[in-house]
Amino acid sequence: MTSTLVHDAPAAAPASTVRQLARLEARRFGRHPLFLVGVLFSVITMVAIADDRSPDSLTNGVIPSFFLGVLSMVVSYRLTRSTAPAAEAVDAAPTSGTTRTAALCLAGLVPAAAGVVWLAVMYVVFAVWPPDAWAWATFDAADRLAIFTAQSAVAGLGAALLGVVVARWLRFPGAIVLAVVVLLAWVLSAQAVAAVDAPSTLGAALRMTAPFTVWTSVDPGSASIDTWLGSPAWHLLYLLTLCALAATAAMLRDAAGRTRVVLLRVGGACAVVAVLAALAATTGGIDEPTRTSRDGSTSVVSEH
Amino acid sequence: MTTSTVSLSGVRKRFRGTVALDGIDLHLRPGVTGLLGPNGAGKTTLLRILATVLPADDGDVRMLGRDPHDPRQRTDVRRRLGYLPQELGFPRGMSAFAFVDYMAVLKEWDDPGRRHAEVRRVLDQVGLGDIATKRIRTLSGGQRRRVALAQALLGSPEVLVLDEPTTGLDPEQRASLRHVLAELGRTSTLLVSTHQTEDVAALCDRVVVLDEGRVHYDGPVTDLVATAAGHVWLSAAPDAAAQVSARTGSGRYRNLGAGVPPDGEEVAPTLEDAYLLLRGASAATRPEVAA
Repeated sequence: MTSTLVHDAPAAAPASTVRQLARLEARRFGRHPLFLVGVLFSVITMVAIADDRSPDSLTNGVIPSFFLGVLSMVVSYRLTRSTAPAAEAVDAAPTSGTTRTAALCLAGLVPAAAGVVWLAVMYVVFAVWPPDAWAWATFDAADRLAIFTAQSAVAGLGAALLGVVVARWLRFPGAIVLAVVVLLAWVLSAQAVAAVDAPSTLGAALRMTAPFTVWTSVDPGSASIDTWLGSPAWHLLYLLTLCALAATAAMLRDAAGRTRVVLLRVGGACAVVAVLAALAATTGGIDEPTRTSRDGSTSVVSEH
Repeated sequence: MTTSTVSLSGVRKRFRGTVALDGIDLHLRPGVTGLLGPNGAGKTTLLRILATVLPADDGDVRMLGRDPHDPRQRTDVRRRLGYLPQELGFPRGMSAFAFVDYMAVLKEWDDPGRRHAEVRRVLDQVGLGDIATKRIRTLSGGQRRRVALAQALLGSPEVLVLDEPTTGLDPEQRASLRHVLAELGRTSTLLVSTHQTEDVAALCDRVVVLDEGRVHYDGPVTDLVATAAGHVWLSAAPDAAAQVSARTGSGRYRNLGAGVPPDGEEVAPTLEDAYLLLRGASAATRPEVAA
């Protein structure tokens, strides 16, 4: 051991600390084995379906939603909890718990970026092997971009933020497993209701308030595609406000004083926007479910 | 006279029905102060309050002239504080460098170049410079303890609170660590809790003995040792009347107490003798114990 005296207490601006910490957390996120597994499986699955001619391209988003989304949720949970054994020393540092949480939330940009890359690759695949026009059902280019963005980049970001929320608020063993099960049950049950009764407003509302939804169903013989109710653009906004709500809820855990008040106000505003966006998503888009056939003709689906 | 850098007046802390600290008055200045006391004496509670991770229930705490109860002042204190908890775990998969680097970011070392240089400096200081990139889980207990210590040394803080820093270290590492801490004590205020009285004797100018949440002794180490003069005897057999009797390496018995054992030879007391005598009847050791 050597000894030299360096009284050199730094005095950094909080924003600078958040940046540095977010950089560290992002690096840890990007190197986490589970995240790398998620990326790997997303790539493998993408390659496998690249020249697939079945007319269900609009459901491609389930790939990053699952592999990037669900696994990122577990990764961010683990990263958040990873410093718990060192909590005593961490708590004695000048950087607050809120700042640490903010950095962890920013690390959610890593799976979001992976989602963006997946999205870009998918558009390249579409350019090389273009799906038949009827396969897009009634969705125009903007709708499709909203759908795919929600199912890739936003799914990655939102899941990572949800992992931080669970880690900050639920301190019992298996909390993340329970959260993943609840999330999957929520998503699947919403799709199930819509599948049974596509024209119902309840089904649409359940789908539009779920963190993931599909928009079409292809008939077993691939002869037609049913478009379900809802507005992709408003649903995307709804998901973005859920992301903001999750980040706010996570940071609220250790916040005190004025920071707490600000976070509560931001959270309240996000909740209002989320409700309005969910309403708009449910009532927007097409009025009734439609069926698009191979010849491009469309008809109303009155009964599933 | 130097102003106190750490000042506690009438500090109390309870955990449910148990009194951990019962009216602690303590004023520390730059230098190394040892904190001794049996298990459950309140040492760790006291250190956690000084480390600003635990609020006192009652009384006044001032660190570097600031009140840790106030959030802004607490942050200011933390900028100038180093803390080694009694038990410190590490995030899985991190190397020694990565962990100390992470702690350095939390301590607001935002310039990566300067931060990395500082991380390397403290790792060198605790003798881990060569194995900084090894994963912590592959390190020995003593090496892990030194990683924990390294994070506390970041920035050579003005106040350093160390809870059993020498646990798990071999004699050579302990001697080396004493040298590092002695250097720091020339300008910083160090409070070192330990069960190793020889560390206190070798390192500290001052010692505080805590028992049942109260300060039982606070003064120079030499004064405490002096209280045991004339009460320490070597004899061929254990003295049943002694307060403490323990076999030494030479095969003779070291007896502590007021009475002179048959064939007793008076010897110079150590800090441990004085500490055990201070604790008196509450000391756990009875005749015919340690071999």
